[in-house]
Amino acid sequence: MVLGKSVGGFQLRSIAIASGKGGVGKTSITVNLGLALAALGKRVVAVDGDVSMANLGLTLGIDRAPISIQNVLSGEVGVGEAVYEGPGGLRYVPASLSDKSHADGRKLKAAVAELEQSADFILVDNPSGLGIDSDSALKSCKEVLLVCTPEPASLADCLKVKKAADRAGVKTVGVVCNMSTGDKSEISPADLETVFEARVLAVVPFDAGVRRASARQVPVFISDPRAPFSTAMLVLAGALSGERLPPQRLQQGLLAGLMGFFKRLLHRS
Amino acid sequence: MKTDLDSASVDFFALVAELGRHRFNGYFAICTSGEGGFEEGTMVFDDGKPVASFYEYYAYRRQYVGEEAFKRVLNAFSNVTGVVDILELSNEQVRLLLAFNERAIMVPAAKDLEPRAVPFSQAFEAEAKSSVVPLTKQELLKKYRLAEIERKPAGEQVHSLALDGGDPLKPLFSEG
Repeated sequence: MVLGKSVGGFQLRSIAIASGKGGVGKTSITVNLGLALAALGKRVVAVDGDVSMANLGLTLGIDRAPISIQNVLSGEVGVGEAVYEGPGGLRYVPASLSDKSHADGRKLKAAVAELEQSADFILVDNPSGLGIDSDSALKSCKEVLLVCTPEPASLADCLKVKKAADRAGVKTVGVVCNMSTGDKSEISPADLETVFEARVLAVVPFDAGVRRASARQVPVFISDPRAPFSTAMLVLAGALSGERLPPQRLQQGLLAGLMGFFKRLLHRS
Repeated sequence: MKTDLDSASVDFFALVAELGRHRFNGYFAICTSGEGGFEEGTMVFDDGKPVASFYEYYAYRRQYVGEEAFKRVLNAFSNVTGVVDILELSNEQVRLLLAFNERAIMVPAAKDLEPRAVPFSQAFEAEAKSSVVPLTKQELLKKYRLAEIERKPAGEQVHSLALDGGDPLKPLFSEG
């Protein structure tokens, strides 16, 4: 299946990062996955698709942007004018913290299509819920990456998003099981795969460092690249891009760090 | 005592021998990444002797104890990546641990602890995986009380009843 335009044998990909439920880590994953993909040499643009509750800029430490996605969606400027250079080679299109007057979410799809000319990956941070804004954000991409925490409420909301994606013809590329503590009460990755009928591409451990990084408004992939969350993002970026992660790094602590973190959560904290 | 050791730098047989020399009370645990996810094996030591083993496959929620666990712990040390922790317990804690986990008690034979090359085998994980009967999507949705999500909207249900020749409104007016 052709997912996008091919440049040098690589398929361009536009991926909606969606969950249905709020607070499960969509924005953190959008930003840090973007940084991880950029670290693997990919050209990435992260787009704040949440025009009502803009968060992406805050996660990157940007409190205002002269031109935002709202200006694009209201037809004032082309999307190219709303792209900013972020840290770690990540480019981003922020949403304004002010209201979304005149923003027409239906124009997001065209904006994303325009960005495809200059990027390998476009990651659209979707709003929570299943309203007009989230519908537009979902439909702006060819694929959706579902972010689910391993508990029933998140599973229920995420499943609704998947059904909406199926109806809209947006392919589910996989599931990220976020904030896992490894506790036996959690829904297992195998069960998530059965329910979603999609692969779990990463099990991301609950990492207090993410919250600290969010408070400091510096992405954790930058502030602590060896953190378990950062490691999981690199593994996820490898799965999405098909890039092989450096075996030396895998040996010298990347996976081991993740295992050690899970192990401590599981038994020996 | 010692944590986050790279399993590639730890020889299983040398470790057991060293813990024996120190008359160690406690356990070591090895965490590795299998095909389905994280696995963890534990060996408990009483006065330097290995006395109990546990092995768990978190992806399959499957735990082995005793001899079956011991084989898997040994196998885990041959995996490509893993981390090892060695943690000391008091003698009383070890006794308590054994009292509550009698099925895990096993003392390996001396020949099982003789140094030798142990090739890694995926058969252990395959066995664990095959021993678990997976639930279907419908069963899982029922388990998590989410079956409603898959149910058709009320309008569609009424429509299909009508198509089946039934009268969807009849129960509303039924006296009996």
